Amino acid sequence: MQRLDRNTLYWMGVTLVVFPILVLLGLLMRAVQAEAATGLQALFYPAMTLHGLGMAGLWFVASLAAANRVLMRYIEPSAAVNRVALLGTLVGVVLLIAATLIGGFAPGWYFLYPLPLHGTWPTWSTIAFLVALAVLGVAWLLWSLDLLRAIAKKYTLRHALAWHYIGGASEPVVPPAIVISTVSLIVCVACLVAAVLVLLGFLGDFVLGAPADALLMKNLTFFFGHVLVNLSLYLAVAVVYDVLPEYAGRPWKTNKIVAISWNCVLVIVLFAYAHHLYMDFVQPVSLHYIGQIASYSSAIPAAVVTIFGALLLVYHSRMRWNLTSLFMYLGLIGWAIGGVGAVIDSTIAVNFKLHNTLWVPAHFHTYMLLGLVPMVLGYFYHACQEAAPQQESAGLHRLLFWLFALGSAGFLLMFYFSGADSVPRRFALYPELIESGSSLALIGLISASVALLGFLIYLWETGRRWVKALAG
Amino acid sequence: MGQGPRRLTGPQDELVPGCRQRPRQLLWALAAVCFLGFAPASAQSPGAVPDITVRLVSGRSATLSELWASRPLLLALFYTRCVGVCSPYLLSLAETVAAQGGAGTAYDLLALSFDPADDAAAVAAYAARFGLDGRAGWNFATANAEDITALAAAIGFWFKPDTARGQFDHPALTVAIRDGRVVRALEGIPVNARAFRETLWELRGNFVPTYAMPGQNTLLSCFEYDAVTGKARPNWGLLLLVMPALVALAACVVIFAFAPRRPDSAPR
Amino acid sequence: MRCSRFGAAALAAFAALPAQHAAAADDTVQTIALTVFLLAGIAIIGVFVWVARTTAAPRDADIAAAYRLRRVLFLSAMALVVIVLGFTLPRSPYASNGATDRLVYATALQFAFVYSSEPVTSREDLGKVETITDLEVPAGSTVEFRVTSLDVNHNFAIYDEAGVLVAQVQAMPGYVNRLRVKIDEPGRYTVLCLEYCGLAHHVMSSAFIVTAPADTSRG
Repeated sequence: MQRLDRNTLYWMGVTLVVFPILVLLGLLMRAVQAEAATGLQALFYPAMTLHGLGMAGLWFVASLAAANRVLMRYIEPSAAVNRVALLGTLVGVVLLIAATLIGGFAPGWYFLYPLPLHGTWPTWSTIAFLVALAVLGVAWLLWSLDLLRAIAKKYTLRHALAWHYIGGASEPVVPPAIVISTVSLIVCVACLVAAVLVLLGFLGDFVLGAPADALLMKNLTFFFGHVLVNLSLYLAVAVVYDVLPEYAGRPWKTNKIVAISWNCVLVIVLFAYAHHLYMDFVQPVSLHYIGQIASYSSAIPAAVVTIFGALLLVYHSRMRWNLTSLFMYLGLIGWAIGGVGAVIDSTIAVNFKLHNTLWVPAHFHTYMLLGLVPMVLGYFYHACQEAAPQQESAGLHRLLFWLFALGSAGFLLMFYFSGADSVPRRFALYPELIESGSSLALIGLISASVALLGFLIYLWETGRRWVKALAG
Repeated sequence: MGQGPRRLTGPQDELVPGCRQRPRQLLWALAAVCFLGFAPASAQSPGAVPDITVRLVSGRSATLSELWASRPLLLALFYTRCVGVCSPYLLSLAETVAAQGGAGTAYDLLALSFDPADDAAAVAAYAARFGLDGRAGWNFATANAEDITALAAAIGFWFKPDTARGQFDHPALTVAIRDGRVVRALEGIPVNARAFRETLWELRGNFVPTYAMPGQNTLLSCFEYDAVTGKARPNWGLLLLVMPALVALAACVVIFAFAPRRPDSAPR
Repeated sequence: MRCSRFGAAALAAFAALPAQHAAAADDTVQTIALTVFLLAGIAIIGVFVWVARTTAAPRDADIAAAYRLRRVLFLSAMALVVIVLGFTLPRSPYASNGATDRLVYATALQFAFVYSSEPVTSREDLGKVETITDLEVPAGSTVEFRVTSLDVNHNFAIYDEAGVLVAQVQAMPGYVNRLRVKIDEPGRYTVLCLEYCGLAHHVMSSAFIVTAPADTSRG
C-alpha cells in the first residue's frame, strides 16, 4: 500500500476547500443570468474571471498532484519542489482572489490581450494579476521539470514515451501512467513557455508602452489555455489508467497501440489550439484547416484506444463499484460526451454559428465537471480511504453519485440547449432578443445546486477520511 | 447625414504655413448649402461622387465616369495661382506615385483645378512647370464652377476665397475613387507613404487586412502583408509561436540526456 | 424520481426551443449540431451503461475479438473523419475575392459598433469619417463587412429577429476581418458583441435593416 504523503494531503485539502467556493461563484453567475440575483450583477464579471482562472488552475494542480502521487509508485519526484509549487500556487490564488473580488479585476479567463489593460479596474489589480501569473508559471514550471527529471532518472526518453513498444518490444515494462505523464509534462512545459511569452507581451505594453500584436498574443494565449486544460485531463486519465485496474481486477498495460496513440496525442494537441481562432478570418486559412484536422484527429486516439480500452477493462470484469470506480467511470463518460460537443464545435462551418455562444462553456464544462473532476475526486477518495479506511456505505455513495451525475448533466444540458439557441456566452444579462437565455440559466442553476449537494456529501465522505489521514 | 468632412489621414499631417485651418461652422454652412442646393446628387449613397464633366488640357472633355471606368482614379484638387500648399503637395504626390508605381496601369490621377478662373492653358503651363505634363497616368483638367462646388461637397473638400490676397484657403487633399465611390481620402503634406500604399490596395479591390497601432512594434507580428503583391510574408512573430513547442522539446531532450540514471531505484 | 423530473424539464426546454424561432429563422446548423450531439450522447451513455451492467456476470473477455472490433471502429472513425472533413472544410465562411454589392466598414470599440463607408483605423478617424447611422442593405445583396476594433477584441455577430445567429466574425485591433453575408429575409438585424470586452459587454449592440427588394434604396 502506498503511503499518503503530506504534500498530496495538502493538495487535496486545497482542492476540497477552493473547489466549492469557485462553484458558488459559478452559481452566482447563473443566478445573475437567470435574473434571480440582480443585486449581484456588479460582481458578475469579476466572479467570472476568478471562477475561470480558478477552476482552470485548480484542476491543473489537482490533476498534477494526483498524477504525482500515482507516479511515486515508479519514480522519486522531489518533495521540496512539490512544496514550492504548493506555496507558489497558494500565493497566486490569494493574489487572484484579491485582484478580482477586491479590485474588481474582470477581463475574464482567458484574459485576452489587450483587455486586462483596457478595463475600469484599478491598476494595482492588474499588477496583482500579472504577478500571480508569473508566480504560478514559475511554480508550475519547476514542478513539471522536476517530474520530468524524476522520470528521466529511471527511464530513457525512448522508454518513457514507449517507443520501444512501437518497435515490437515489451521490455522494459513502462506503465501507462509514465507514458501519459511524460507526454503531458512535455506539452506542459510548452504551454508554460507560451504563458511566459504572453506575460512578456503584457509587460511590454504595460511597462514600456509598446503594444504587442493582438493576433500573435491571441495565438499564444489560446495555445497556452488549450494545452493547459487538455494536459490536465490527460493527467487525470493517467491516474485512471493506474487505479481503475485495481477495482476491475484486471491489468491495463502499455502496448504498441497505446504507445502510438499517446505519441500521436503529443503532436496533435500542439496544433489543435487553432480551433479557438476560426473566427479570426485574418488568420491564414491553412492554420484554420490545420486546426479542424487536428481537432478531429485528436478524437481518434481518445475514443478508439483509451475509451475503448477502458470499456474493455470493465467489460465482464469483477468490478468493485464504489465511489472511486463510479466516479472514474463517470469521468470517462463525461470525457467522451464532452469530446462529441468539442468535435462538433471544432468544425469551422458549425463554429461560425456556435462560436462564443454557450455551446463553448457547454463542452468544456462537460470535460471538466463530468470528466476531469470526477476522475480526480475519485482518486482522492481512493487515496484517503486507503490511508484511513472506514466502513463504506454503498447506498450513500450511490446517492451522491446520482446527485452529482444528474445534477451536472442537467446543468450542462442547459448550456448545450442555450448554445443551439444562439445564447451568447459571458453575458451578465441577456437582451430581450435572446429569449431563452434566462429561463435556461434558471434550470441550470437548480440543476447545478443538486450537483453541489452531491459534492457536499462527497466532501463529508472524503473529508473525514482526509482528516484522519492528516492526523495519522 | 454626415458629421463633418470626410477625411482619412495617416499619422501626423503637416500643413504648410499660409493655409489657415477653417472653423467648423463654415464647413457646416458650406456643406449645408451644397447638400441643400444639390440634394439629388448628395442623396445618393454615401461616398458617391457626382459624375461631372471636366475639360482636359488636351482640349477633350470627359465625364468622371469615363475616367474611372477603366481604372480607379486618384483625384487631387489645386489651382494655378496658389502660392501656398498646392505646389509642394503636388510634388509630394508625384514623388510618392513615382515611388509606389502603378500610375497609368493600376490607377489614373486627375489633378483638377477648382479655380473657375483657370483655363486649359494655365493648367497646362502649371503641369509643365512641375514636369508632370505628359507623365503616364496623369491628367490635368478644369471644370465649371457649379460642378466643382458639387464635387467638392461630395468629397469633403472645402475652399474659401481670400479676396485680399487673391488666394483660396484650402486643404491638401486627394481622394481615391473606385466605381464612382470614394474609397479613401489622403490629407496633408507630405503624402504619407504607408497610407498611400493602403489606398492603392483598396483601389485594387483588395482589402487592407492590417494596419499599425500607434507605437506598435510590427516586427513581432506573425505575418507581414506586402504592399505591392497583397500577399502575406512570414514575420518574426511566427518564430515566437513555435518557440514554446521547440523549447519544450529541447528541455525534454536535455533533461533526459543529462539526468543521472539509476534504473533500479526502488519504488515506494 | 429525480431522473424523470430532470428529464421532463429537459424535454420541456427542448420542446420549447422551436417555438421561440420564427418560421423564417435559419437555424439549420444549430439544430443539426444539437441533434447529432444528443444522439451521440445517448449512444455513449447507452454503451457505458450496458458495459457497466456486464460486471454483474464476470468472465474472461475475448481480447482478440475486442481488438478486431477496435480495428473496425478505428477504420470507421478514420473514414468518418475524412468524409466529414471533406464535406465541411469547403463550407468554411472565409471570403475569397469575389463580387460584392456593398462594402461597409464596421468598427467596434468599447462599447459600440460604428458603420462607415471608409476605413477607420484610429479614434481620430472617427471624428473625421462620415459614419452611417441608419444602415440599410437590400435583401439578397452580398454585403461585405470589414470589421476591426479600436481597442480590445470584440466580435461582430449578426442576429435575426428571432434571435438566431446568422453570421459572426471577430473584431481585432490592428486587423481587418472580412465578413461576407447575403441576407435574403428582410427585417431588423441586431448585431451583438460576442467577445467579452469589458463590463458593458452585454449591452454593446447595434442594428441594421435589410430592406425588401421592392423598396427603393435610400442609401
